[in-house]
Amino acid sequence: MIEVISIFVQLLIFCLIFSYPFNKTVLVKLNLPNNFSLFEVYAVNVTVHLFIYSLISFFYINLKIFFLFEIIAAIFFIYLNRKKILELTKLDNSYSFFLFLIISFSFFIAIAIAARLEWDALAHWIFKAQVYFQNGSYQDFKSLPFNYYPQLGTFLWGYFWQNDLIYSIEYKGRLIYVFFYLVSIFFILGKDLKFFSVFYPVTIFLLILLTLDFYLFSGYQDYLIFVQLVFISKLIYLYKKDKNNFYLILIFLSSWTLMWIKQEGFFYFIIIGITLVLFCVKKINQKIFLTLIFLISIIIKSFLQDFFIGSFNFNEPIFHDGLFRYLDITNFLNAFFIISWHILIALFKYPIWLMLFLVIIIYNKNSFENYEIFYFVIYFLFIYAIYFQTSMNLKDLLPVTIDRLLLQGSGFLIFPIFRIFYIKKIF
Amino acid sequence: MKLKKYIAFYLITGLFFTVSYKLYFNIYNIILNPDYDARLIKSHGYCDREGYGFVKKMYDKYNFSKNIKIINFESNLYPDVSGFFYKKNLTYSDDKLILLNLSDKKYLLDFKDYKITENYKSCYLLEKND
Repeated sequence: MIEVISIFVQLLIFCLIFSYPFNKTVLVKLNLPNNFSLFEVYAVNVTVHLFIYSLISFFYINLKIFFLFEIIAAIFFIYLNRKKILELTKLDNSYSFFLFLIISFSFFIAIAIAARLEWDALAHWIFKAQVYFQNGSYQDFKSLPFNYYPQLGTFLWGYFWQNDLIYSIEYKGRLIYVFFYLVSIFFILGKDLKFFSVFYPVTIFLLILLTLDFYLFSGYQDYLIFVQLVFISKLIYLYKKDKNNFYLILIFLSSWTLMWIKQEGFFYFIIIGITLVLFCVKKINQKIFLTLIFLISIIIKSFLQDFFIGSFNFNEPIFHDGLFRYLDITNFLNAFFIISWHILIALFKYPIWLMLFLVIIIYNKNSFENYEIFYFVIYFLFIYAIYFQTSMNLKDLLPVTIDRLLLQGSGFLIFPIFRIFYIKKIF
Repeated sequence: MKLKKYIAFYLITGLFFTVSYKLYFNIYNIILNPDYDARLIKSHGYCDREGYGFVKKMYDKYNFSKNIKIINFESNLYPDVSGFFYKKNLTYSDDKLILLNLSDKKYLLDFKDYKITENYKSCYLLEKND
């Protein structure tokens, strides 16, 4: 029974920590035209916290003291915002929050019951989580397997594993992935749907049904990329609508964290950077400024990795002699068909993609914003590029990796589907 | 409008009970099986699959002062569970070794510099001869 109570306490801790520093009072002061829902506030805070975590993960910091600081700060911010919080209890927000708590708690309990880590988690992610669990830093990665892999997801795992208030068990750290995933699902709906609309619970249920793969909560990091892409997608839409630079800052922070979650996050970062520069900002000085910021971030990333680990590596060198095999058209076509076939199979595993194609067919591509179409095209080019580039056997590699890549990338396209349904008055 | 509210009410209640049913069932399971290690052994095996149970027992019994290297003879099927026990401030031991899923004893000949300290079915804790 204590374990069940401790899981619920962990959920409340997450809710507490990610309710600051931004709350409705602060966001109103930033002149944001959007009337933020509870989950939009959570999403903003998740983004800010992840950015801070990505920075402190490089240094030796007593995580217990940092955690204590977070709790005190969160309580202080809630005290400052107490009037708004009382207001929230009168709105639909409190009902949606209750639904969120019930779903989160049931997922948390299911993870506790499953008590299982899958392959990649055991092969390398847990070693990094152990480093943070034992108050280490990125500097301790040198002797670990796959030390060049990014660390942010394992920082979260180790941090919340260590700082369980009742008693720490390994899986307590992984619950944060579920929390973020569910925040992103509720974030998509925002304030557009009222809780007592017929479609609120149906949409939540449908979104979970279309995107949930419980297997990936067994120590994989893919949902963190998914969550960040959900945030970025909606934030870009809000920026284009309201032109408030606060959104632009949040988009950058989210994109930055992508680089520190998984290796492919680096390429998502570049894709988001290009998307912003080409489609979101209009003035030339803004375009130049954004380009510089993204380029400097890439330099900082390579510098930090080189400084702490000693190399800025990926699984394989980006350019290698094996690429010359594609000068033979038969090899090229053969690889193209194998990749396409496995993409097709994986699309059925995550039906959100089938839903997307259905929306394109029914409402045609004009319903989408230009940047969404651009992302869609460049994302698939990126998928093909990954598999054309690798020197590993495609028939071994594709079945175990392509589905996860497709899940990550779908994060960006879920909000557009919801938006189109909403505009077309499906809801 | 009234009809919509009724449908919403029943959908929300239905969703709540569907989630709750699964939730109660899982909570009941946790209360019945409160030992997390027992649940890990159920998932990762005692002396089969990843051999979590055997490795855990060795760590508990000998309280090793170094990280121990694990060799799983079915490593193409199961990953290594040493991450569960990894201590960042310790180096890897040169004189101790855990072997898992060693069904054919002839492979023990490859470890002739070692003596068997513990053995349970196909799992071994080996220690280097002095």
